[in-house]
Amino acid sequence: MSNNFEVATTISDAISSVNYSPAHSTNLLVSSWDQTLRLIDTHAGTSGRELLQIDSQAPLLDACFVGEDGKSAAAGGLDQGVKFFDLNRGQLTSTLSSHTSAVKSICYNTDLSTIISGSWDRTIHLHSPQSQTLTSSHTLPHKIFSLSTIQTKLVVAMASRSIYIYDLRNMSEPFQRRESSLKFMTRTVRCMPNGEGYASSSIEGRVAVEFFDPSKESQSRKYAFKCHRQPEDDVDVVYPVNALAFHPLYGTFASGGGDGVVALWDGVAKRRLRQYPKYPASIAAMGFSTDGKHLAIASCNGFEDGKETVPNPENRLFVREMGENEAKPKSMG
Amino acid sequence: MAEPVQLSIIEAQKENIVALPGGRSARALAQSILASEDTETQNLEHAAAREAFENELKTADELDDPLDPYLRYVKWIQEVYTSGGGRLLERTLYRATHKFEDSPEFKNDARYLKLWMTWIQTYSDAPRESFAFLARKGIGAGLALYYEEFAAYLESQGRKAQAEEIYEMGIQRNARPVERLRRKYDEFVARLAANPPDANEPSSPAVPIVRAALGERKTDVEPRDPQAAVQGFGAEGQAPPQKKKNKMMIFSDAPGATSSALPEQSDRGGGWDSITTLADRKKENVDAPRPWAGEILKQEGGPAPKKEKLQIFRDPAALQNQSQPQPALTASGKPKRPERVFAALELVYHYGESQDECDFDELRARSRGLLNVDWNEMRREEEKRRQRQKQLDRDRAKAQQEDEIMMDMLGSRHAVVEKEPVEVPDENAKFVTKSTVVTLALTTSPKAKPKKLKKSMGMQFSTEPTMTMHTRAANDEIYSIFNQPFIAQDDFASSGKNGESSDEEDDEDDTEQTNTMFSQGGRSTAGQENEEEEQPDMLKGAFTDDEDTGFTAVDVDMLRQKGAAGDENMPTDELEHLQLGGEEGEPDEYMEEEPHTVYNQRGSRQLPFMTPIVEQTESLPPSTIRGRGRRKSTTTPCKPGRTGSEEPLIDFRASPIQEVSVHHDILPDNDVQMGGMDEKENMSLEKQTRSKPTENSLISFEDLEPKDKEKEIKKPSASNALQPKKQALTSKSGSTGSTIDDAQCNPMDPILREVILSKLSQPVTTFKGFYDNSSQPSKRTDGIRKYIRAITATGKDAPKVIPSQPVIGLENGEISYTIRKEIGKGAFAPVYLVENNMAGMYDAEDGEEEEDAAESATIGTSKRCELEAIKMEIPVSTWEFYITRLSHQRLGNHRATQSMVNVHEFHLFKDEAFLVLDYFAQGTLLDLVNATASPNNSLHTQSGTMEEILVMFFTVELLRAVEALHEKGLLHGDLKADNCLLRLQPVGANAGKDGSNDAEWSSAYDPHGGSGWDKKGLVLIDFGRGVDMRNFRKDVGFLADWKTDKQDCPEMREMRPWTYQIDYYGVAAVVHSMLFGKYIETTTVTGDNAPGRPKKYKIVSGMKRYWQGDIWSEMFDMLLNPGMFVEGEEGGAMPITKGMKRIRMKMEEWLVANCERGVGLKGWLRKVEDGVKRRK
Repeated sequence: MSNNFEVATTISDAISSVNYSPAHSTNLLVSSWDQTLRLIDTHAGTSGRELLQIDSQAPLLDACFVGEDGKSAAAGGLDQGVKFFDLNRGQLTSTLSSHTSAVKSICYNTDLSTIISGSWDRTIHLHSPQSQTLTSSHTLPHKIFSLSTIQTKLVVAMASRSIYIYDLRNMSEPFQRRESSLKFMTRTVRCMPNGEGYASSSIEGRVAVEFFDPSKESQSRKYAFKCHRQPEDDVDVVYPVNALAFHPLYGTFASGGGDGVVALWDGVAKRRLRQYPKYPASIAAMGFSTDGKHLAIASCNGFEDGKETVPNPENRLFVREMGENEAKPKSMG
Repeated sequence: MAEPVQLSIIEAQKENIVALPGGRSARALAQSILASEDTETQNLEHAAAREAFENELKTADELDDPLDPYLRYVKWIQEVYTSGGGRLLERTLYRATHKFEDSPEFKNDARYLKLWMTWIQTYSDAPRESFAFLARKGIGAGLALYYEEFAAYLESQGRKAQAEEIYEMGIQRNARPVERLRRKYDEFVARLAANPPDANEPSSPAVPIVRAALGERKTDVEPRDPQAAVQGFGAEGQAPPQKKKNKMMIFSDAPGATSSALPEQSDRGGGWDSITTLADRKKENVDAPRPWAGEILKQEGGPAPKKEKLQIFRDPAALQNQSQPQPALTASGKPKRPERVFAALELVYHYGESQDECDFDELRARSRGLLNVDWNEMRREEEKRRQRQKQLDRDRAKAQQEDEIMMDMLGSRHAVVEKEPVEVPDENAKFVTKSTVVTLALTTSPKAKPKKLKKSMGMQFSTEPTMTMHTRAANDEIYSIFNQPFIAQDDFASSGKNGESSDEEDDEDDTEQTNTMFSQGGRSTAGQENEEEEQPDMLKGAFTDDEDTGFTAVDVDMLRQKGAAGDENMPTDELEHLQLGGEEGEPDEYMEEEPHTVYNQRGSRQLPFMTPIVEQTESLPPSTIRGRGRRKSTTTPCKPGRTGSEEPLIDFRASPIQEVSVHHDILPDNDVQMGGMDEKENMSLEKQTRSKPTENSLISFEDLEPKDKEKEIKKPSASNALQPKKQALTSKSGSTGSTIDDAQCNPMDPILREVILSKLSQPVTTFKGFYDNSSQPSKRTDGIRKYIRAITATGKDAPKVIPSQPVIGLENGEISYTIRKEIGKGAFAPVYLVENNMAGMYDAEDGEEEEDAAESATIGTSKRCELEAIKMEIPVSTWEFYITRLSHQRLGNHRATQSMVNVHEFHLFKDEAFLVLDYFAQGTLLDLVNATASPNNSLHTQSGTMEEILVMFFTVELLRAVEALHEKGLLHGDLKADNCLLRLQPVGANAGKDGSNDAEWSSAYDPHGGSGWDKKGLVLIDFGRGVDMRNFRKDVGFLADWKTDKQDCPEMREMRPWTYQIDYYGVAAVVHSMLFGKYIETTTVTGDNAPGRPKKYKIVSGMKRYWQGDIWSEMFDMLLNPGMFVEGEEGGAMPITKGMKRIRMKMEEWLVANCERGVGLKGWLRKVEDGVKRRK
């Protein structure tokens, strides 16, 4: 069974993203509302150690590693800039571009070495990490809520349940335009590691799994399911699904909800593999390490109900060690 | 003597008469038969007689012949109860026989033996054992009768050898009359000779030989019979003790539980003391009674066996191909738990100025007041603070020796470095210290300036961006110009914790360049630069301030001149001010007095010369004009200007131009702010600027501007590589791209629709519920038509046999519907009410929650009902399915979604298509209007038209639905009263289906749908003429190629192009028919028909004076002349959603205010509900 431990941090406000380094399976990049980007070795000592802490001037909403060496990162937040950080020197290298509203999501495409940022100003910006410049900007019809990229695909989840899928090699026109199959606002979108499709979650306790291939066979494989519902008296309270994370090796995925529950799903067999005991607060972000051996889980006030106490008292980071076969889909034994 | 017995009496009853061995008296028989006809008296008589006998029996022991009463009693019973004495006889016989079994005087009494024989023959369950018992007791041992009977019994059992043995025993004992016995024996022998005994028959002695039981420890030599051994076995503890495990439970009577029939059993140690019934002898099979205390009562069958609650019969034929294993009803029986969404949906879906919902981060930002914070502004404010501080410091510094300062500056390089880390943690202190240095440098040492410049060159971007903007807009612009790395950190490090690292870097740079500073203010270099650049910035600030409200090249130009003039004065001016400030020592006051702060105070403090220009050019946002290119070169925008100038003053002077070019950088970001509408203009203008990035360009701008605006939109030039791409994007943005590029077309054109459908990013065939069988014919129409004709036909046309309800089985029977009746004929297709034979299965799928991750995608599989509507489309068209589904997809969970009919499935065949829709039983608005008009209907009103409040209510519902559709770029295209179904659903969980028990439905109208009001409304059906505006270019105009009538909008009738008008007119028509009870008629407003002016329409009918004439006429005015109300709408074009919303809100307000007057809105709606129910 998996082992769960808490990482000691100095994070003083809600966590917005957690991402494991592509190079070091224990280095975790954490962006948070306390205007800080941190690099944490989750497995140093008994409860981890903060390697780096870079302050920004506004709350950060997302961050990602850039490149394969885990030495640089990009982040964005309310101050509307897309920032590029040198993690070796522990400092901001440059501001790649500026949106006219907060940068909500940021991701890095390995195949094409591109940093993609999406903002509430309804644009996505593509940047080259080599030249540290903006390479192109694209205006979309709605606020961007979540980005995810795999291989040459970029999935953009927007307001009004709109989802665009781009081929990064040809950004002039979306490869596909879709409406989310969920009725409520899209919260997060994450691509499958095998590049076949993506999972998206809504604020109304549902996750949809869809495929890129427009053929009818593939499209008929798409499905959605309910999750993150807690019975309360005689009502089921439906929580938002804030975080999704695909296991890099097995293609199973974890969902984290406003109820503080993390569940592990086998998308192929359409089965829930596991559901872990409740965390103290809403799950804000999750990330598997590149070797798939552990899952970082950020638990803090998610502002789902429009309430928070300032400052948020509970901003905690957990790591769940995955057992040998814990995240393995049933079909793989 | 007595008369002869009427044999006929006996004859009639003879099957009820039990034969007695000795025969019956015919008289007695006849008597009792006759008596039995009078049951009541007979019963009484019998009871009396029985009682007499019983009494006699009680004292029988005192009689000389105690047997006599028994004999008589038995005889009486046999006579009276002709059909057998039953239990009475049995009990009496038993008592008689067993009473005397040990009385020696009766042992050879023939009468007693006869009683025994009767008992054995009639009631004994084991006659042979009874005979053996008698033998053991010695009863009848001397009577031939016993032997004869016993032998006869054995013989009848096939035990001839034993029978012979008995005869021989009897003869040997000389049982009397021995002669008769002998004769019987002879007869037996004769029979035996004729029929010799079987070799297999038992040869054991007829009367068991009594031997000692094995293991008998009793010294009692008396031989014991086997029965005794068995019976007494356990009780006497003779079970083999060495056996550890009893292979078999041996039954034993509980100690002391001696049977009353065997009082002296233990004494005598033998069996055969008594013979009781077989049941008694099988008592080991019966559980002995035990006290209940402590007993565990095993429930029958354990905990409720899980059974299917109800086996539903299903036609095996229908089941044949059905893969669904579960029975339908059990699945649907599963109650769905109510759900509550945790997320604050009202906040998420609070559409503010933008059309998009907000995610939680945005909400959090907003609640913390960080959302609309202009981070530049914050930095700016910080900068201001810094500035003030600087000024303070300057003053302070002034007090110091200038020479000293110089010395320090030159020598403190190392100190700076050292200071660094200390300063980092204290954000505010940072600036203080910084600024002090700066001021010193500025004020005191002109020599420092060149140095600073050099340094700034060296630092490239990091120094460049520094500027102190005082107006918000100016800062926006400028900051975004300097998007390059470090800017934010360097200059505006003030906003809370900012990149210390970058500061560090600055400092490093500083030191490298041997920039000398105060030892105290090591980090000042950045600040210094700020200070330096502040001046140009200030100028810029002035410009940008204007820009905010709209700014053109003219402004720039003018300002540039002004600025240039100002610049020259600036340094000195400022210095003076600073000095002044220092004396005053009050930063706030400074702010008021400082020249640049004048610019800062937006509006009130603006320089007078700017305002008129501003207004002039309001419509054209300047930021975008300034172009968007230059992204790639963002890092070095200012470099040339800077490098070229050693002398700061020159630099200042040059700066305006420089800045213009700088501005180009900003734009990509800013243009978004400006809104998409201007984008094209912006881009075109940008091109202009790019091509002439000098002063001249600015001037030319001024001239070209208005023309450019139009020209450029039409033909975007490809001068900029980035441009066409963007153009394409913008034109597509916000839509699925204009598939159809025609400026005018007929949106209902099937070919055009085909094109649209073929270009969908997600083909319609992959939609949930789409069943494509287009290759095969369905041929179901005829059957259905025939059936419908049959059930609707009357009179002689009516067929004698009504055909059975046709069942439409689809998808190999996986889905099937039973046609009930025809409920409507759409424009193109009939609609049937059907029974969904599969209803309920869908819920089951839905109900499986976490256990099974699989669940169908949520859209298109909402809950199914038993009754649904099927629309048959001939010729086939996918369009209605597509548009209906699209409306749901686009609207998402918008409240108006409930006002769109839900399409569950679409079955496409070669020759026909079936559209499975929700069924609403309450009829259409047209039905309601007609019901109101017809005098016999319960809904009839005096005026013959609907109550105004009801009309208003439905109008609001209609407007909301149409608004939502239009907002999402959809046209219904066929709005009329018969395409609006009533949706008056029960409110609350415990409300009855008929609308009873609706306490949860408040009588106070809630425009937001609370208190049950969201359950009441309309449903739009028939999207067959729907149009998705996103398929067309923005300026498209539609032309109808069909014959138009008064129900079509004036544009159509006059062959003018139309778009949204079709729906506005439709709404007007629906409302008109509700309000007036007749079809809409319009006329042009007279006197307003000047040529060239657009015609204005109004309705012909006049309002009643007590109606809300204002609201209604405003509404009709708007709906009939939408083109005149586009002002204020987004893009100044249709849809006039905002205008409609305004009207709707007015109506809602009125409803809220008046909903509880008189009958009240709820009351009226209840009446309608009842009325339409009755109508059915």
